[in-house]
Amino acid sequence: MPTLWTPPPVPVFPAGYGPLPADMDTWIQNSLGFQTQGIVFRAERHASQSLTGAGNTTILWDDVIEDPYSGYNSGTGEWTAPYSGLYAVSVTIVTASGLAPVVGAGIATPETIYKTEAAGTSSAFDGGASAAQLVPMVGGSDWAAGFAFVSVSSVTTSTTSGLYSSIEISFESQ
Amino acid sequence: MPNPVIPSPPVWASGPIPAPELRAVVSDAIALLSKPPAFAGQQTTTNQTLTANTTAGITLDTEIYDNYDGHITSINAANYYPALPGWYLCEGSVPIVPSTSSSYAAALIGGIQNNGTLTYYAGMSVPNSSTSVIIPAAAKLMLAEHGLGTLHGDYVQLAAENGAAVTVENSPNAPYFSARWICALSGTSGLAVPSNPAWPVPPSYVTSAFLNTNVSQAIEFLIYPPIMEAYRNSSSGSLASQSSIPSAGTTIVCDTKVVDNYTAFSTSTGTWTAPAAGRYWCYGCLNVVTNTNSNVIGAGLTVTSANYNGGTTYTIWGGTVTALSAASSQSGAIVRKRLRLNAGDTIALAGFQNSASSGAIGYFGGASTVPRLIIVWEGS
Repeated sequence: MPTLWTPPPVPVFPAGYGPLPADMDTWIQNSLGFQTQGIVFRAERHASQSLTGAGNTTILWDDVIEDPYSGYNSGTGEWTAPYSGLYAVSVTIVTASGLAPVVGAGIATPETIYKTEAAGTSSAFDGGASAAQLVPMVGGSDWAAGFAFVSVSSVTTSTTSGLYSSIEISFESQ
Repeated sequence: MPNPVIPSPPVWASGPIPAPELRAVVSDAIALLSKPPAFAGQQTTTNQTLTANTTAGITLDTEIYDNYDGHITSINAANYYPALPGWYLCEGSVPIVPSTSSSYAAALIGGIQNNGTLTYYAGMSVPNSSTSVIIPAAAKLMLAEHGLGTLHGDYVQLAAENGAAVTVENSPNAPYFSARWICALSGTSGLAVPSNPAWPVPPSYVTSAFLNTNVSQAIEFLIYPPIMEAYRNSSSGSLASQSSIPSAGTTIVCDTKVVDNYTAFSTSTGTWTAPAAGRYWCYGCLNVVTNTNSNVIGAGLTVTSANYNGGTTYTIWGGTVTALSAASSQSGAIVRKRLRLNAGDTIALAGFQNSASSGAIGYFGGASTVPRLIIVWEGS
């Protein structure tokens, strides 16, 4: 388990003050520790998930690869930010072959829901799309989720290794 | 908010360290690293019309995030003017309303640096749909040699091109563009990922070596982390048609580097070797010349790492998309993932295509509409 650093204020280093080791840990160790490690959430969908035709489906990630700040709710597919800031969110949707939908990938938050990639696919091959956004989030309340759009019904997510749908969230800025 | 500055950590020797010196080094670094210049914007109130076969910058009328006021609509609503010199990771996408024309939709990232020429770099290029919104996307590392206020005119922008006159959709989806500072123009490479130990407790004491390793070099690493971008400049060779998506894809050898500050990429093998452990943002773009027989294309990241597939090399695909099926079409597909890697792990750009006649397809060559691989260290 990595150390869970906290987003630092810009340290002041007061003159004429003899800092204790704990002061330096706050001012430097935590500050640079947080900038080194950041906050991350990565997960994939391995099992088949049915997708709503001509609509959006929130993906429920069944393989959480890393979530050190425990932000993921497996019941809703939502990841809640532990601290306020700007987060980079990427979502890849890969659909199983068999149909030829337009496949879109998107990111949902409490305020918005946008697709940021969509393209046609072939019935013979697993199709895919990926979305990416910078999302300002309020710590402890705002969440982000990945969703799939498919233009026809009876489409499912891919279950092939190397072709899993995925979500990745990374802290970018305070 | 005043523009940040790139910190320049000293090499400390024994002796007292005045508080102002620590402030200048550590505080400046935290001020930059905790709030690096970043921008995200959309087009939500206007419906921009694209002229057929003409690349156009996408105007952004809604700012989602712009911490240093680099998006100046009074000058040009399409442009983001970086606040600080450095490398910027730019990503964007453009929804195209359903079009009955049998044509293409493409997203590009453009920019100008040091009063140079506006250049566009292609991402996805896929067929329009008569029934659904198609949203091509693109990403690119862009170099800003001068920060905002230096009047050199450096800027970046999202652009789109369509094979027929079409309108951009702005609701419920909307054009989206982001740019964020990720790395200084110059720095020291080969440093270790900061370990950030606790500070010594008496009777132990802080040494200059401790400060140099855990403050100076830590800051130097964080403002100049490993980044790499390479593309395939040569149009020679071709990508064979395959009947199924392989577990380990065909490597597309990118033969020309844009940036590789840790000298980690081989232009002869097309393989990038992780110089340090960490989380990496990885992007691959397969731009190829498809034809009347082309069905689908796909881009992938071929990974060799103990963290994936039991250590056996395999390709993480972004799925496939329908290719443009007309003579000498410029089709493009992308993949983007954040991968956790160990030092020494490798990544290469992979390509997949299927054509009805099982024929091979070619590459364009050049810097703009070509296969591309981008890798950026994001954290430990």
